[in-house]
Amino acid sequence: MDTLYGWMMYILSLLTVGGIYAIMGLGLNLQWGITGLFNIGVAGFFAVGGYASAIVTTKFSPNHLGGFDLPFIVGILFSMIFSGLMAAIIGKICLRLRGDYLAIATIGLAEILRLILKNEVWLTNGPRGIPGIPRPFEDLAQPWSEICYLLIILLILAIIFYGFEKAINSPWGRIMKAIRENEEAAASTGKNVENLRLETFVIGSIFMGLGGALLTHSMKYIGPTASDPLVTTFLLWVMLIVGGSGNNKGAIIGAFIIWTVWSASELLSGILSYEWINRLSYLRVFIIGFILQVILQNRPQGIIPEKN
Amino acid sequence: MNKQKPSQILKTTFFSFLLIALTSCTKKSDKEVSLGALIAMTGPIESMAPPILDSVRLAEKEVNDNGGILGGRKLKVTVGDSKCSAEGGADAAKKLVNINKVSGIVGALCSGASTAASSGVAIPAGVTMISPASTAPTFTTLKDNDLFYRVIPSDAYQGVYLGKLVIKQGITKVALTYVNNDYGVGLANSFKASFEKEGGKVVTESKHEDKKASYRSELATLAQGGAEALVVIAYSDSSGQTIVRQALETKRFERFIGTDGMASEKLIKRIGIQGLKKSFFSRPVATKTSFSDAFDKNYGAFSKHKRKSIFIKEAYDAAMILALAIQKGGSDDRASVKANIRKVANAPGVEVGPGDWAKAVKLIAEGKEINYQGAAGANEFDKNGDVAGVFGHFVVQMGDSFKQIK
Repeated sequence: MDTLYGWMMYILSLLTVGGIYAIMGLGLNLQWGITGLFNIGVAGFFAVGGYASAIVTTKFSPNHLGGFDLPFIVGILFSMIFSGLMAAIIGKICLRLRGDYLAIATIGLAEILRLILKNEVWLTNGPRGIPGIPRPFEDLAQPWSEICYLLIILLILAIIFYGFEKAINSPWGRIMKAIRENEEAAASTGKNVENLRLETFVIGSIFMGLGGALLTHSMKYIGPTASDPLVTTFLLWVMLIVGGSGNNKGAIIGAFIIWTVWSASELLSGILSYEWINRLSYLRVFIIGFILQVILQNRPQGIIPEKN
Repeated sequence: MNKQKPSQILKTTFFSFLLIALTSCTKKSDKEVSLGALIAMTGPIESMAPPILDSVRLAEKEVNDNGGILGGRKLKVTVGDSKCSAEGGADAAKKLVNINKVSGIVGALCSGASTAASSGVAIPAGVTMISPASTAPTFTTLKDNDLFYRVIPSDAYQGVYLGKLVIKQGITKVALTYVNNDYGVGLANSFKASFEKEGGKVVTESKHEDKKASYRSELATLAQGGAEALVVIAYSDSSGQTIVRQALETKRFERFIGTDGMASEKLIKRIGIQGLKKSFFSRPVATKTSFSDAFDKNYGAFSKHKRKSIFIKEAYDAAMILALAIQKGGSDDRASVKANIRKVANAPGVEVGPGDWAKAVKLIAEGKEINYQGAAGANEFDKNGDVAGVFGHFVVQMGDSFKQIK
């Protein structure tokens, strides 16, 4: 019974983090899958969202700005506002670029953002990070606190999924796809392509920031190591490609599958002989890369391809 | 003929698997006592990890070779890769806590991983953590429900010691520069608070980035306040050494005060004794005791790694204290571990040290109190779960080495 309970708790945590990645995945799907914006600066928006919510919701501390001790809901609203603002500024500068150039610009700016957050000690407590971030329902007994937090995540995910489905199947969504397929053609119909591209960039990034905030509340801590590009940007991209870019369901399924593989493969470190444990992290990246290869070879559209 | 539907076959196999899995699991957990080790096997400090893991394995082996734990059960340590990151620490801790059902955790190493693993996972689950390496002062005030300990002194203690030491040397006005990272910022804050409380004054202060070629502009600013000496909190391999050299070249300062990061032989080699004549340093004193000797001997026989590797003594002590707390409480129940940490680590009691597992078990069976004396120090936890460090006052002497004054 005890063992079963342990596995249940672990599965809850897999669903929680998977759900958070799914929220970010929907954001990235809007940017890449629907509109074709190559954003590999996810970690930057993730960090902005995480820090914004941390500063707003923690108790007052002399070590960093705030905290303002406001409720969780205000925290996540601020995370969305700030990551959206950042995306608007960055988008204004970068979105004139296309394809690979946009990718290079976004990764550069995201790294700058991360360095600023690491070095502005008055704002973020620098390398020491911000501890003691409240998690909703944490006062409830286990497992209920985990279950309730998971329910919040799933509720947010469901709302966003519903909204995105509506949006993508609306004229707005069709114009975005048109921009992805052929920008000149879309522009020739009289649409302001620049503004539309900025719109999706901002909306997508808002949900990356929201993901950052939700994960921060789940870990109760954020620091410079919390927004490692390997586990935010890279993993999120694999999730989207494996799940099926262009399809919201695909983005969600991909997030849950890849996060489960990523997290559960670490369990091997309890089994492997310890000469092999050192190699495990490379093995984990290899497993993810291997899945990516298999999917790209056999199902280039992803597990759930885009609807036509 | 009795034809079964495919779905029925599926159901039967599923449930029989579940049953087998369950029975095997319960059997296992009855025989074994499970501890976790959150070690950054990969990431920025991965080179430190293998010797530390060996240390934990040594503790595991000593327990199992000397009659086991809780009346002959095996101690099993499961490793989680905390990757020196918040995300890695939290994720690995979730698995140790939920799947491996650990009674306690050694780790994590990096402060970020420790914070996320403890406040996000271990503390809500009631699992005790003992970190061998997280020195950030924030853990002192962390709301940990008495579940987070560390066997390494907080950076704050050295700052306090150094502040008092500087006053004792008759210096009341200093300039302060420190490297912009975890280590520098924490130590500088605690030094400043202690120094100013004792009546000193930090007249100029400048934070610097590591690994720059020149610190001349910072030094020019620092020298403006008329300070008697420059306090340098940095590493002798990089910025610390450059700052001292350039301060001497430009004649901005001639007296330096350094912390443990500065007090390495490399500094003397590069700067020369002449330049450091008036300087002094603080650093944790490696107390050589019969206990640390015992550990050195056992570790040397067990591992191919150097006995001087960093944090190995602390990691061994952390694992031993957890194992002793389980034995003392007579149960691998998490609450029992929590309740017994201070009982086995703190005075009073019969002193036991590394390699004394069989003796400790006997003493506990006789109902006597024990007081674990670690390889790294006495491990007396205060009310915050911190240990006090022993620091010494060092100066440079002839023969390119440091001499402890007090």
